[in-house]
Amino acid sequence: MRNDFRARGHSSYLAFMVQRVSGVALTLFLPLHFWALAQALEGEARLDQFLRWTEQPLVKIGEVILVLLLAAHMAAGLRLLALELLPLQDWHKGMLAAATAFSFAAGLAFLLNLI
Amino acid sequence: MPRLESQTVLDVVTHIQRRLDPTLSYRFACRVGMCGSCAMTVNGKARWTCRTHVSVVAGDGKLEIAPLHNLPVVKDLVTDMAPFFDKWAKAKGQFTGPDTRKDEFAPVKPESRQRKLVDEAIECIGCGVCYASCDVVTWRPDYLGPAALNRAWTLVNDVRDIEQRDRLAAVAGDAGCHACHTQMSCTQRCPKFLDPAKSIAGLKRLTMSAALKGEL
Amino acid sequence: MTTSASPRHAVTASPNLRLQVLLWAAHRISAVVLAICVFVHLAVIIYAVRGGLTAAEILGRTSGSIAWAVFYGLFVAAAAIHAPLGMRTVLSEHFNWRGRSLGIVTVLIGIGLAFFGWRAVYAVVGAGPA
Repeated sequence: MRNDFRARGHSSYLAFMVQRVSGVALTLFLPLHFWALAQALEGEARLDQFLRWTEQPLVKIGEVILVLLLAAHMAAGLRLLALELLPLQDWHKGMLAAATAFSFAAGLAFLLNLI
Repeated sequence: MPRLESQTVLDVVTHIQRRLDPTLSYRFACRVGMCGSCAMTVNGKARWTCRTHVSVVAGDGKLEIAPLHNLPVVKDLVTDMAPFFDKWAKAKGQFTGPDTRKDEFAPVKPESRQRKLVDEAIECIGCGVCYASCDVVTWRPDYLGPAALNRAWTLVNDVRDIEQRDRLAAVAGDAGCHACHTQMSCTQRCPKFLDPAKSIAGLKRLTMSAALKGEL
Repeated sequence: MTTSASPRHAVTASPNLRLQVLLWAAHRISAVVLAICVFVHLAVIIYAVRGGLTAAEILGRTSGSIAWAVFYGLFVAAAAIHAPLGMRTVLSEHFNWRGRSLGIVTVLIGIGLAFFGWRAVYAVVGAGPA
């Protein structure tokens, strides 16, 4: 028998889920990112053509989500590194709050600079 | 069945077996929250049924009782605890000292850093709640699990023990402490408020430095 | 039963076990490198998207720059270690995949990311017609 949402309903498990989902999403996104940048191999104009394509609202929303995913994965990851590598006496649930705050701050900063 | 004040889930199970279904199999012993035998899955979470009040977990009147997760079911609510304890042994969860009873006592200061670490984690009674709550145990059948690793941690910090190198080898790797993702369901559910996740993090530090130094 | 007179023979971990631990360590160490790179990258992105993004702006910054070449080169290397090892864990846990074939896929993901990543770095640092 398996554990379901009832057993998983605590903040550290959520942090784990965010870490895993964002990690997989970013791994799938990276090849796309590399392909996009490699457009520059065919000249500046070609890269500009691609960048103009990204100007549409849906793509911009996607970009904000990606920035959020990246910031979230990094923040959750740093929290894990701290928990694993530093012999802390108290586990400081506050770390999780700080990590979450940082991720959203990064996403917001990106969004505000986009508009 | 009759709902009584201050009823525990164990009371419910006992009532069912005595009055409604005599074929029901379940485990309990002390019924006062000391032995851990009555651990079961109650409304999705692993708990000691003798210490779980119905009023707390079944506010809407619905109570779902199941055997502990991640263990083979013998019958009804009874699970086979053998895999749990086999992993305890695999993690070298037993003490081995160099002295015999003819030697002097080994002096270990209770305020010493290492003894404090042991004392924080030593109260485990092997109830299986953490093991049942861990998703990594579900996903990796060979994962030693929080209880076994927690016990190994208490022995790793026992300055009298002489099998430390073997023990680090026993707890390292994909089936050992490195499989832990700090989901912390173990710490969340431990009825003795222990912190297996923290013990496992300690094992990660020790095994990593041993591996990097070529001592693993 | 042992006495204090006889020394215990220490068993060392199997090479497979040592590899597992070292891979875990590589995953964590690459994470630290990535954290630094991502921090810089986020700052650059947030700054760069102000007023729209153009190729001229990007290439103006990166073209011919050894510093950016080293930075992004390192960034790619760390990602090419970190991502495949992460995926290895995800694949093994959710699809019950073990053994050599998983190891091969892991390495392939790493090689793929490294190749396309370094190619992208080459693209923006200086190659191809202006």
